Amino acid sequence: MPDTIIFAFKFFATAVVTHILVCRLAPSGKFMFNGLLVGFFSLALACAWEFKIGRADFLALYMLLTAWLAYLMFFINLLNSVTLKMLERLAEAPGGNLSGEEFNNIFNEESGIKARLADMDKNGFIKIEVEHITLTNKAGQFLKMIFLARKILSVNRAG
Amino acid sequence: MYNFNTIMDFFDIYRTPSENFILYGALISFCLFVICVLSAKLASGKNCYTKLNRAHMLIFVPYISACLFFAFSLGEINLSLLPVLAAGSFIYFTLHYVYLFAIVGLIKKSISVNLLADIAGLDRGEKPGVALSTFLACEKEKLAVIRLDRLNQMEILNMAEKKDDIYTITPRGRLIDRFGGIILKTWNLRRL
Repeated sequence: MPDTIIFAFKFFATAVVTHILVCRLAPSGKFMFNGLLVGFFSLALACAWEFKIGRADFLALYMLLTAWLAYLMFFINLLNSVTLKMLERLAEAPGGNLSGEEFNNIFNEESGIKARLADMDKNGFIKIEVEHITLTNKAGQFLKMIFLARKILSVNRAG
Repeated sequence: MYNFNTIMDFFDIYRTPSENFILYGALISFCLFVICVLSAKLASGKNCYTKLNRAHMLIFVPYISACLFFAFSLGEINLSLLPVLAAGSFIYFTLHYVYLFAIVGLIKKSISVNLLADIAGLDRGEKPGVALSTFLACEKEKLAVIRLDRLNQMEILNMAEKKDDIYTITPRGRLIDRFGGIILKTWNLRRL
């Protein structure tokens, strides 16, 4: 069992160092894509290594895969969390103070919604033309899965 | 290269019965957790994360107890069981917080997903689509609710204090912000 944990840890640590180097030396703004690519190669290498030494340690592969997904999720939350963005603004404010109204001005529909709509337009989920929004087929398919998951988990109210 | 005489041999790849019990027990415990989540509809309504965390502990404690009892009954309690218990806990913990938690977060909490769902709700299928001004007007109130919810979260997590509608960052909040900044700098990332 310690061998399993050490095996998974070694590949995970190597993948993290590789990812840091990729982010620093070749910053392309494609953090998630690079992250998934590094994770995929790391997992493939681990599978190849296990094959080479003649063992089928699925637990080690699960640990590596899950640790990598947790690592990416950590960064998704760190980059996108509204709470952490608010905290950052509060830390930058003079004296570390901001009023509720100042928060309303900073985090308004311009920053909260329009930026996300622009992102969704860029990623092909919606089309914004002549001040109107239409959903694409891609969004339709995606929402079908979301609504199904909401039904299974009895999520009747978002937020 | 692999010599599995039976199907059980394929699954029985760890040294002792206790190790197998702990590892497969983690999978079974998670399945019980999912049944609990679905039957009691824990992901619905307010404070779903709190409800899920409580259910997580309600199943985790009996799982660990059962593992220790099983190992004890077979006389396999020793230090070498610690990494196995860690691995079993890791499996149970990550199945919830990496997979299920992410799904719940996506379908319920994600602002972008909720925006898409709201657009779908307003879209009558007629050209030229949903008017941007109408959509923004509908979302303004929801955004205000989200903003207030996140500010309350900062207070609850002791990252900020509120007095007379003025929010002040706490030492804990500064530490968290600084830690986040160091991580982002190391990975050469920037929040948009």
